[in-house]
Amino acid sequence: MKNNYKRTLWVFMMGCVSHGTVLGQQIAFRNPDQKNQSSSQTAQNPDFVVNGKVTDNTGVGLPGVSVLVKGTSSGTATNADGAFTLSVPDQNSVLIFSFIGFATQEVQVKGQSNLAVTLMPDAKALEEVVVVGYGTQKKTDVTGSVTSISQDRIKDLPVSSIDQALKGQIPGMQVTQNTGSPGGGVTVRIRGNNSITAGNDPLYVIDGFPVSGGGRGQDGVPGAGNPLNTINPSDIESIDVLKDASATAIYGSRGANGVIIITTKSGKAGKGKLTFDAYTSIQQASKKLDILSAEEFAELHIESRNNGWLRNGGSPTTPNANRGRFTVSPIYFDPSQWRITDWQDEVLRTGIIQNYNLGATGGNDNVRYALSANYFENEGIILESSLKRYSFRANIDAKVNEKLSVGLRVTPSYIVNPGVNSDGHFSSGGVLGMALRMPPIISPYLPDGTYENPLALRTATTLGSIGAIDNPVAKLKEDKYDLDQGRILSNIFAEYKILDNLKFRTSFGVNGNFNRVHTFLSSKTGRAGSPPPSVPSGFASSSQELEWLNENLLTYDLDINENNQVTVIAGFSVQKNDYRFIRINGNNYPNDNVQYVAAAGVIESGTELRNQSSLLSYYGRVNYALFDRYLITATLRRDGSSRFGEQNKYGTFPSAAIAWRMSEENFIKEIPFISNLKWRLSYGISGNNSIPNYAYVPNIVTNSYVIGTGQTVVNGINAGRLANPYITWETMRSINLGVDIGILQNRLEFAVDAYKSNTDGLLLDVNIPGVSGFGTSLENIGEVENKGLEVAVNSRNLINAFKWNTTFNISFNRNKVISLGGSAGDFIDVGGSSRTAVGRPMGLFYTRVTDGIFNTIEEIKAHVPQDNNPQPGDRRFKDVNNDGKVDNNDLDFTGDPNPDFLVGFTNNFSFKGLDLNVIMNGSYGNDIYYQHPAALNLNGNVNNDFQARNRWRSPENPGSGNIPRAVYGFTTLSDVASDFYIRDASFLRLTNVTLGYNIPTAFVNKIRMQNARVYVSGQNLWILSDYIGFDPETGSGGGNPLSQGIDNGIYPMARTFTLGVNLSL
Amino acid sequence: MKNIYKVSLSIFFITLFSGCEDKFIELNPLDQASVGNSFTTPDDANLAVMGVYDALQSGSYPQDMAFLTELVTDNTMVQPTRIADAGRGDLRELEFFQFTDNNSYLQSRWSRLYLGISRANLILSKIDQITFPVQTLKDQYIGEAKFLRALFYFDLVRFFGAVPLSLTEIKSADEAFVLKRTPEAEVYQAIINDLNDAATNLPITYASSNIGRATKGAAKALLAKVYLTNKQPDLALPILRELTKAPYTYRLMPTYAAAFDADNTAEAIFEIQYTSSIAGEGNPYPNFFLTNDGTAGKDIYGSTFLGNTGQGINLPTQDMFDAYEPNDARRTYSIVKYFSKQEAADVYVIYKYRGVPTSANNSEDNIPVLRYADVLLMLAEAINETNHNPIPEAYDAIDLVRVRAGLLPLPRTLTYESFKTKLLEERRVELAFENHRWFDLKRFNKAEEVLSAKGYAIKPFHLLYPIPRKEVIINPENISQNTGY
Repeated sequence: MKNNYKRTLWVFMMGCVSHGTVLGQQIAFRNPDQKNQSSSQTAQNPDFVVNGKVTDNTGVGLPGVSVLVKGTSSGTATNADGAFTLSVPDQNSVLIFSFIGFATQEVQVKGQSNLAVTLMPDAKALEEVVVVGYGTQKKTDVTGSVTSISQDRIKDLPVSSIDQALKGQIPGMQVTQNTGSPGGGVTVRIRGNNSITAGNDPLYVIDGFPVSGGGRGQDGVPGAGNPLNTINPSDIESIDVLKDASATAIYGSRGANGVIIITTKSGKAGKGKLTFDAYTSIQQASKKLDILSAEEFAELHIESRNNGWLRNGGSPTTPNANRGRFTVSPIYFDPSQWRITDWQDEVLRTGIIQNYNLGATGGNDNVRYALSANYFENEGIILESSLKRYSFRANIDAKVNEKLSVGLRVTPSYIVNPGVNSDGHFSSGGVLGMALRMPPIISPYLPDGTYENPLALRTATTLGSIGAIDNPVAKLKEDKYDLDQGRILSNIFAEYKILDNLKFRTSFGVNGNFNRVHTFLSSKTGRAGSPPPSVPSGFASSSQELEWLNENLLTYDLDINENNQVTVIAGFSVQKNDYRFIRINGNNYPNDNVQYVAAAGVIESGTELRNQSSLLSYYGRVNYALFDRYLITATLRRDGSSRFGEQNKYGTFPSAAIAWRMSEENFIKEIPFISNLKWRLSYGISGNNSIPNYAYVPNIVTNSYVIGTGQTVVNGINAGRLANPYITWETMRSINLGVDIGILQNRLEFAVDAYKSNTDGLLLDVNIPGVSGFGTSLENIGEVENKGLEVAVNSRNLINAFKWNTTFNISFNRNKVISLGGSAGDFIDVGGSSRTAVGRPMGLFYTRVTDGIFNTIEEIKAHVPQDNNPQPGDRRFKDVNNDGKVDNNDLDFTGDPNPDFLVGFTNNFSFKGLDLNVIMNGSYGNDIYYQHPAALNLNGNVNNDFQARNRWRSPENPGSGNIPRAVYGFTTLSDVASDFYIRDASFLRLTNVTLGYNIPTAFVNKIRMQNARVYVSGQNLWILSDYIGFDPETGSGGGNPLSQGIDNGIYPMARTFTLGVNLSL
Repeated sequence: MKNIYKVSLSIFFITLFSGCEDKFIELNPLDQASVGNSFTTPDDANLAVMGVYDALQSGSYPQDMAFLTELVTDNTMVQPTRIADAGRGDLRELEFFQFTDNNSYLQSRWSRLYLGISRANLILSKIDQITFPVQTLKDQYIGEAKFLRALFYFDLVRFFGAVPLSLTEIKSADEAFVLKRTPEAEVYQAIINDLNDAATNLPITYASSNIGRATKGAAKALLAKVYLTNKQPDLALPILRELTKAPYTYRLMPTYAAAFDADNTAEAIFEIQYTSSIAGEGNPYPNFFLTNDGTAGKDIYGSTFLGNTGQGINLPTQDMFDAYEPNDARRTYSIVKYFSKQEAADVYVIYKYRGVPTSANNSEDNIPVLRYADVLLMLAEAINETNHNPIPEAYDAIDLVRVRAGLLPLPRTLTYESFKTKLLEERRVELAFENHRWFDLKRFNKAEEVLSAKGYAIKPFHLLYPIPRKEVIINPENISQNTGY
């Protein structure tokens, strides 16, 4: 009987081989008659019970396989051993067994009460599909450099935005968290920095909608406003990163920095599924900095005053009280007056994350749906910082008739993100900088519970002339930087089958982004070094960005014959962005009670801005496969942009790629262990249009003069810049050579890519003759080169009951500035410590060069004159330019913030119901300028970090030989930017460890669920690094490629422990 | 066949969308005007003319002028203990005749003057597209723009010699790169043309609400100075005589103090207008000229003085203090001596601009550009130069100025040379700190002689400042450097 059945199937399949199903021992097919049979026999013998076991082709039981009685909605799932028990309507019922990655199978019960079912791997499902621009491709057919990440690689990670989860996962992509602040910005760079001024953020395409990646509208709220915050990570089905020009050129003038395509989950036909995911995490700062204790600080302070007094020419016998500004206040000699405080503990706390996600998916052949609701909350590890996100999603796909299908994607989300001014120098309000520098001998609160006021203690009698540092706890609790963000991203589309192989798809999408910022500077905090009470001030601002998009796409599959397959797409799209901004500044609030501008005594000023941009594009792509082994892809896009000058309104961006599936050649097929070998070569041109709107227009700005006997101020106007009708996109030309290798049935896979990209027409301010009335003009000039090598390895080490997968990637990128446009000079200096020079990588550190410490007067005399008139114990610098003196011109390249290579290393283990996921990532060879986290100025005005313990005290006690002495009141240059502060920031981080357990199906089924999984995870558990700041990664801060790697005291990264559960019913 | 039809139809359909493509990507700024749409009404022209005046008043214009005309000479110096401060290298260079083409004040002067010129060129290029109901208003605007353009070019040619001459709107960087240094004579001719046009077009006076704008008299007084500088005293003479008579009503104020205590007096011919009522519209001189001395402002001006920390970059020299004859009322008005804690010594501070700022760098006082006393002294100069002899008319003119200052008339026994020397000295004290000294020394051919004698390391080539380095580096084919640099 069984054999007959098999034979029938064989015969049947021979007849429909064109459907391409791979045959195995047992296969599935649809018998049109069966449906009628089973339904007609329903309701007889309702109590027939079937037991069974489902195994894979190696005989291992498959847990979680869906078992459904055909034509009904009743069913079950297999338990951890693959066994199931199900009541069926009658003995002739047909059971449908489905499991992801396996071919769905139908089995007629035929009176058997014990079924043994073997599911075969589904060749089609195994054949990975890659999302490319405007379509999908089989992975084997891809000719460009594309890396795909499926949702199982990024799930379980307690992150507010998905980019944080991609760290170390994609070769060639550097993900740097700029700050640990909830919702804080993340810098994503694909294959290095390609632009100096026009931005290096990749293009994000969310369900076909290209949205601008650059966070806009945060308006003075520090470290907030990452646009990807508004997307719920658990909605994401897959992420595809397009890296080379063959893949990105279809996005034309927006493709140069790479493209990240995010596809959200859509419903699947089948039994409806309700999922509930929740996790909660606790967070702690992964590190506290080692700074001086109260005793050590007092010692430093006293030493600095004594040395200063002597340096000032004072006599060592003068009593302390008579030393003027060098007099040490009594408190430093009397520990009983100290209120010893660990200021880091005062501003840091235990953070908490909560995340709840409710989802429903399902549908039938005609309508499929995926809905979700999400609540995410993160109380940050710095006081008062938090993020709350409410987001929803509805993805609906429907078939209207055989020809027409329609769909909808709607994602509203709302974020409440009270920020804190945590980062940067204390003088600009960075509370971490304040906490690290605050004298540890006072506490945040006075005994009566009010705030201590360090700014008021800066008098000779209490604390002496210490630094003008405000109370960071008061700053955190009283000053407000609130950001609210709402976004709705929606896209509706219709697809019409004109012919079987010709589809027309049109879509209309809207991206609405609304930000509100509210700030308030309280009366209880100081201003610009003056102690409170201050005059309260604040502002309210609001921005609104509305962007609409219409895409129209024809897809034509022309399979000429088995050996010649052609797919052509041709599209047309229009996109328009409209941005509005309004801000009102208030001042003189009577008190802190009402903190809105309405209460302001003076409405100081306000502004309203509006600008628009539009993009009109034609694009097309041809994929040609010859003998299924020679693959050719050619793309072309033509973009017209409102941002470009009238002489350069349109840009054309072509690309071409060829691939050779060598493993399909007979001479390779003979080599048994090679299962896949594909060579890829591509060349293409893409652009970067992130230039300012209207930059080509000679704008008019206002000025004012005074006229009349009454000396009245009158308005005037003048041109703000010269017209530049040639302003256009930056152009990247890139070549990529890659090879994909699969060994032993693809148990071991390699993907190796080498690339070289040259971006020219960099938008730079060029010096022009002053006779024009202007000093500079923005022009497309300058060139940057990036070249690199990426290797990705995927290994399925163990594939049986105990599974172990390893992925490893390493990427090398070398960046070099080829030209800065001649007349702009050969270098650009930023921030006093970074220089971008022709012939070198961007943003190198350019500082003084230390040469130890002067130990004696004789050593000073033997050295060339140094501009701070040094004394023994002061820093010695090298006369770099050999002009016989040391001054601000003696600067040299002392470090490189660009990593030599990046690595990512992931291991997945699973056994029965247990799964373990370990992610590591690292960076090697990059430097950080350890600028501000904890000062080492040694003037005794502020607390210093642990290095101060090794300071020079006398020729006999020179400390570690590279730390100067403490001295107050003179320019000792101990904290001037120098190679001393350039530190190796290489690191290897244990980014994530997750241990999950699938609760046995038998138990789960009892409580009427399909699946239940619990997991624990830890993030940032361990780091291997010599870096002395909070974190070698957060320190790499900011998106500006010209001033990378400057650690000026940034919100520390958290160590996070998470407990989570995934339920489905 | 049907398929081909469907395919073509689809392609047609998809390209149908592209009908209005060019319009779709042509967007104009919404929150900013552009040059293309900003010149349609007479009011627009007025705004643009005010923009030209603003170039005189804002940015670094006033202080740079003081550095290049006063600090460089024997009139003023940098506060001694502050001269070595970081960032003062460029001032040091000016004080000791060590300036190079990299001096930032030269670049900024060059840029600011051409900024004014470009603003004047813009309105002069656009004004014909505006319909004026009243022709005189259009004439006035043209006259004002040309007067200011002439003033800017006159400074340029006196500082730098041959400079690129552009009398039309420069629309692109390319148009700027092709401009060569124009011979001085041609620049002077352009200045003279502008001033003649301005003198024709401008009114003699304005209604009170427009006081402060350039007048016919201002254009003529400047024209006379241009002629004197251009060694054409005979052409200057009739113009200067004209200015002393009706319909002009210029006169010396009864006292020297009265000429400065109020703005736009009968003695004023053209002043840069300031008000302290709005931040950014005030005169920065009091803060720049005061010593960097903590509470110096309170010491001198009283406790109301704001922006206490002066810059200490333009203090009168002892030589300047000594240049006044005994009993000269102008000294006590112009210079004050006080004890500086910073210097631990007595120092002199410019007292002429004493309007108390209402916020730092915002004082009320106007800065005179052309003043009737200057006209009288130029008249004396023009007569002496034309006749090669100081005839009585010349004595009459200079004595008016001297007597007002409480001095005796000059003995009428001077030769051409000695009168000229006396005239230069008189100009120095009468016009002290009004940004004339460097130009006067040059015009009298006395710069080297006078300054060398006082120990300044001036060399002949210093009479022209170097062209700013950037201008030469970026455009070496058309912009050559002055000799000596």
